[in-house]
Amino acid sequence: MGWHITTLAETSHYANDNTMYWAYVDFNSAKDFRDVNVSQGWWSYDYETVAVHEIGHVAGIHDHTATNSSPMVSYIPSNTVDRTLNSHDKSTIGDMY
Amino acid sequence: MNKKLLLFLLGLVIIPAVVFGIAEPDADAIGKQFAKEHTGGVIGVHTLEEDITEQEEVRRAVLIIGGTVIDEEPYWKITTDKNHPRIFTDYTIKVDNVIKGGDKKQVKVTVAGGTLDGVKTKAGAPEITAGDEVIMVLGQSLESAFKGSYVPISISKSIYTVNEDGKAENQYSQRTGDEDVVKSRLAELASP
Repeated sequence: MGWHITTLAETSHYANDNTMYWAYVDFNSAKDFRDVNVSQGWWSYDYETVAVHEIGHVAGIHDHTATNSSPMVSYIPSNTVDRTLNSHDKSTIGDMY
Repeated sequence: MNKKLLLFLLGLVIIPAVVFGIAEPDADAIGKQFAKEHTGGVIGVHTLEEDITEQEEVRRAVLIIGGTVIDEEPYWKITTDKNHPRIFTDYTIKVDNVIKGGDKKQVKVTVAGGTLDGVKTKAGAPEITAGDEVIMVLGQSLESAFKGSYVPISISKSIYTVNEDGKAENQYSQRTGDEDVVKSRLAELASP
């Protein structure tokens, strides 16, 4: 993975008639992922924050949020930690199941 | 035929095939089979990107161009998982001006996503097609499968389309404006 220079991770999924049949997650192995609460680098990204974001997609959140109070944003700055889905994210998932 | 000789001859064929990758899966055949199994649906790809400034975007770029899309070629590619082949599209760009990088008359730019064999993959890139006038901020992929290919720095933000009114647009970016203004800004950021 890593076809585009700024890509951190991707979730691909296949849906038809409002049913998701599969989803899988790729992390860009060229990026510096770590626990940034423990140590930070110039362009390092918090592994767990990115993982929660991708798990949110796997759970069915298809849209990125425009607010910064959620890991479900489209872009994350380096050394940022946000490992908790917000109430909107949770209700989006809750409405589906 | 002598059994040892037969094994030796088989080895001459099989070992180089494995070592040199001749036996790699046929991405097109796997993709076509995948398409049959996914008729009518949409493959969505959610891309999480680094939040970088335009200055950093330009710093990472090896080539920034203005030009026209003259051809697009979608194809299947096996990347990380042979059960999930991906669609990529190579766009051929006739270069009108180079804002950063060496002189080019034409470049091929690889972008994730596209439509092929009845399957549409949306990977987060602005939709462009042959005939579109574009501005592109490009890097070179580090991925082994695409090593050396030109790719947008950001799949969402590094492709601008120029509309009939001369506006450089990108639905994901607030860095849009008149074509000349956008090009001047990129050139200024690219200057040492």
